[in-house]
Formats: sequence, C-alpha cells, structure tokens
Amino acid sequence: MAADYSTYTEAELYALLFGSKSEKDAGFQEIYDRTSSRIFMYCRKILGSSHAADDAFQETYALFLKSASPDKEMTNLPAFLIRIARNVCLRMRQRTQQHGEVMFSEHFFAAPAETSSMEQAELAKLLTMALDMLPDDQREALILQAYEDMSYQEIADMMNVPMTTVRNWIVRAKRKLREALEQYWLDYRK
Amino acid sequence: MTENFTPADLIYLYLDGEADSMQQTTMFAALASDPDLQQEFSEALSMRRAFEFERSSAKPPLYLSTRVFQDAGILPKAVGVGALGGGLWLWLRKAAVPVGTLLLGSVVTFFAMNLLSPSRTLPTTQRAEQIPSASSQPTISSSTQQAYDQSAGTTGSAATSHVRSVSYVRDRGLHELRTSDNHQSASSGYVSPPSATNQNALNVSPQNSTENDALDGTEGFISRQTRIASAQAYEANPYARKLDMVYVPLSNINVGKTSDFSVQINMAGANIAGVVPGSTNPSFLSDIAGTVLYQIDEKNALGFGMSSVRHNISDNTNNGSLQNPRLTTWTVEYQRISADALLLGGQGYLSLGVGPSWNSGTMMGVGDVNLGLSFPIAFLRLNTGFNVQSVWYQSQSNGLSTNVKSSFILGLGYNW
Repeated sequence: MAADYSTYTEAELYALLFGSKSEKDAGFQEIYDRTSSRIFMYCRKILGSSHAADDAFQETYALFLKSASPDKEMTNLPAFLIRIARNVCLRMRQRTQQHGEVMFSEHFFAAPAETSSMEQAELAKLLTMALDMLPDDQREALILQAYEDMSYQEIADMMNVPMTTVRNWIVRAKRKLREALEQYWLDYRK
Repeated sequence: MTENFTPADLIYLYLDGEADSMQQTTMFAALASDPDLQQEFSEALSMRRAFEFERSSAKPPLYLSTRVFQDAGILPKAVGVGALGGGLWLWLRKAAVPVGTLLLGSVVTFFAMNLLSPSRTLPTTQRAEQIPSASSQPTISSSTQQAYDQSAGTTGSAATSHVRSVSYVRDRGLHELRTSDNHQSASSGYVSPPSATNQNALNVSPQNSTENDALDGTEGFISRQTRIASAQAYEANPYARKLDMVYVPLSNINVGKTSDFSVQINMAGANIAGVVPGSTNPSFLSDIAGTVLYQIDEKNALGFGMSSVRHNISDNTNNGSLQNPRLTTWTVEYQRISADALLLGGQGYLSLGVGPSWNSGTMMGVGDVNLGLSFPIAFLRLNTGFNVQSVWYQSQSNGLSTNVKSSFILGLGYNW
C-alpha cells in the first residue's frame, strides 16, 4: 500500500530526500505541493517580471535539493525555502540593476476563482500594481506578511532587522497602498 | 509601543493579529466615534481579503512545475529520445501560440477568400462588349478536332492528351483571336498547326456549334459554352488581367502556370501583442523583411526571405547572453494565394517561413507566419496584414525556450 505522504511532518518529508530514489521523488513532490504556491507568489511579487520570477522559482528548488543535508534539522520548510528564494531574488535584482536595466513590468495577476467576487479580483490587481510604488524594504516586508502569511517576528528574523522596524514598515506600506487606491474607494462607495 | 502609532495605524496591526490588548482597546474606542476611521477600517479589511484571495489562488503553472521536476530528476529532460514524458508537453505548450495563430490565420483567410469576396459579374452591356456573342463566337466541331489531331500526328491516348493541351491554349486564345489572327502568340504549350487549312479550321463556323455542344463532357474536349464561361470569368477578374494570370477554372484544365517572380519588402508596424497571446515587445517600424518569390502557379509561390526583427529576450545560453537581440534570419518561404480570392480589390495571402538565425554565438530557430491582403496599384503591390515570428533557442537555465513577437505589417511588392 502506498504511503500517505500528506500526513508526514516536514522533518519526515525532508528525511525522505536521503532515502531511495522513489522515496526521494515522493518526498520532494509532497514538499513541492505544500510550498510551491507560496514560493511562486513570493518570486512573482518581488521580481515582477514573469521570466525572471520563473527562473528564480526554478532555481530556488534546485538550490534546495543541492543544499539538502542529512545533518540538517528541518522544522520549517516554507521559511527555509522562502529564505533561499529571497537570496535568489536579491541576487537577480542586483544583477539587473548592475546592468542598468529596468525590470520588465509584467505583473502577475492571479486568475479569479469561481467563488471569488469580481471586486476582490479587481482590488487584488490594483494592489499588485500599487506595490511598485513602495520602497524595497517596505514592499518586501509587506509581501512576506500579506502574501506569505508570515508573522512580524518571522519577517524580522528573515530580514535581519528589529521587529519594531518590520511593524513600522508594514503599517506604513499598507497605509500608502490604501491612499494610492483612493479613487477606487470613491468609486466603490458609489 | 502604543504611543508610536495612531489609531489608524492600529487598525492594520489589529487586522494582522499583531496588536496587543491595550492597542486593541485604544483602536476600538477611536473607531466608535470617528466615521473616517470606520471607513478606513472597512477599506483595510477589503485589502486584507484581497491579499487572502490572491494568496489562495496562486499556483505555479504546469510548465514551471515541469521544469522543477526535470531539475529534480523526477521528469526526464526535454532533450533526447526519453524526453517524451515532460519534454513533449513542454514543447507542445511552447508551440501552441504559433500553431494556434496559424490555424486562426487559415480560418480568417478562408472566410476572406470564399465568403466575403464580392461578386465579379460584369454588367450585361459591358459583358456584351467583351465577350463575343454566340453567333460570332469561334467554335470548333468534332470533325475539325479530329482533323487537327490527325494532322498533328497524334492518336489514341496521346491524342487525348494533346487535345487537352490545345484546348487550354484555345481558352486563353479566345481573347487574342479578337485582336490578332496569329495563334502562335499564345503561351507555352501551344503546338503550331501544320497548315493554313488547319489554322483556319480552328475558327469554324457557327453552324457547327450544336455538334460541338453535344460533345461537351467528352474527355479532353471543352465545349464552346465552357470556353465562353471561362472567358467571362477571365474578363471579370481584373486582378487576373493585371497580373496577366491565366484565369481558367481548374476543373477545365490542369495547368495554370504564370512564371511570375515577385519581390516583397515589408516593414513591421504597430505591435499587436495584445492580439496574439504570449507575444511581447512593442516596436514601431523597427523591423524589416524582404522576400523573393517564384510563383509556381496561381495559388502557390516558393522562395526565400530575409528579416531583421528585434525580440524581447533576456536570457543566457550556453554560448552567450541574449539581451533584446535583433535577429537576422534567412528563411525558406512558401506562400499560398488564390487567383479568385478577391476582397476589396485585394488578394489574400498566407505565407510561412522557417529558417535559422545566429546571435551572440547562439543558433536559433525561427518560424514566420504572415497573413494579409495584397492590393495591386499600378505596377506595384501594397501589402498589409500581420506577422507572427517565433524564436526557439536553448536557454542555459530553462532548456528549450521560445519568444513570440507579433506585428502589423505594411510593405510594397513588385511583380515582373
């Protein structure tokens, strides 16, 4: 009988990566199923460009497998993968800036689900566009909180800044987004 | 920390689950008495729901998951014989846009050529001037036909073949008979009659027409009515006349070669990236393409082309770096046209090209699709339509990759 990997803990799944070929494949697929949406969202929001974000997403999982070690204790796979994705995205962004290029502004818009309202889909698009107006630190903190559902403390740990700084960044970022959408709110009220 | 935040700031902390109990009390007290703050709370809540909505609907596309699983060794790489699992799917996805465009173009061309073409029937008075009446129409009797075959020294099946060839020449010769008695001015394929008698026999008297009609349908023989209908069709088609194309229904004859060369120079105009899914990189009149075609028959032309097109690619290959490269490409071109495809005075065409290109040490494959209308103006042709060019190359990190660019085109052609 096939094992039900969906019940495995993250540490158990990580351990499968060092087993037989079939165990490794099954473990990786389960890890991918659990984390890919968040990593994908992070890369798209940070890099904007679909090509660059796709590359970063692909490279994140390649580096994850490359860095896998049986000596490592894995307790928070999503945070570990986002940390890798963050490094990859930062490197790609630096490389782009060094070349004096402007990132191709091609925003990713999630397709509205059948059960979602049109308003939510529209507002999600506008928010994605407004994200570009934010300073990099505020934008990244907001993406980690709003799209990755990370706590302020987790974000502070990841970005290596005090939690009060993260709190300020996120509050300022959200207020700026709201102000940027002023016309939308006016139309919405009508 | 409450002193650092306004009540409005506290709304966001609260909705993020990061406000302590004292901050919550402060916020709710302010909310109770401030309508503007209530409004901001409502809007902040809408924003949070929009974030959650997008978070729940995000999912990496299949092609990207395929790439990750190929890297992980779970799916085979998209090269080699064993790549059919993931590689074929990946390739099909990348080919979907150009193939879909081609199919769409074919459907549009079909409708343009077959359904939207205006009737080319001339007014009765005009037709009467151009087409000789039945009584004055040159006809040929079966006996004359046989006499002609015998004098040309053909018999049996060879005779049938010969008759077909001569009939073709006569069809076209209907027009020339009116201005010249010299049948030898007809185009290739015509066999000169051996004697003046036979030459005269071709212009037979009207009283033989009934006999002639009775033979209609006999293999290799074309009746007077059929030839008149064919001539009317030719006269009614200004495009065929201008290009001196033989306009005879293919059901009557088997040959319709025109031996035309043409040269086309087209500029890529306004980008239509929004029309063709997946296409990118707007550029206005920055791309150019030239084509030399040999017209095999009324419907088919073959030749080669050269284009210089800038593509929106930013990628590394094993041999170099591609940064918005301008690709010079040599292509083998096939063009499909139709002599009776008239729309607003123009002629529909669909051309396909395939060829290689090099940039930064990288060899790339290029596929080209052009769809449009060509309008004869004096000795030139004005070409309009749109072009879709696909580029395939081997990316260092992504394997087989593609970029699609689509543009309106505007250009000039010359026939000789």
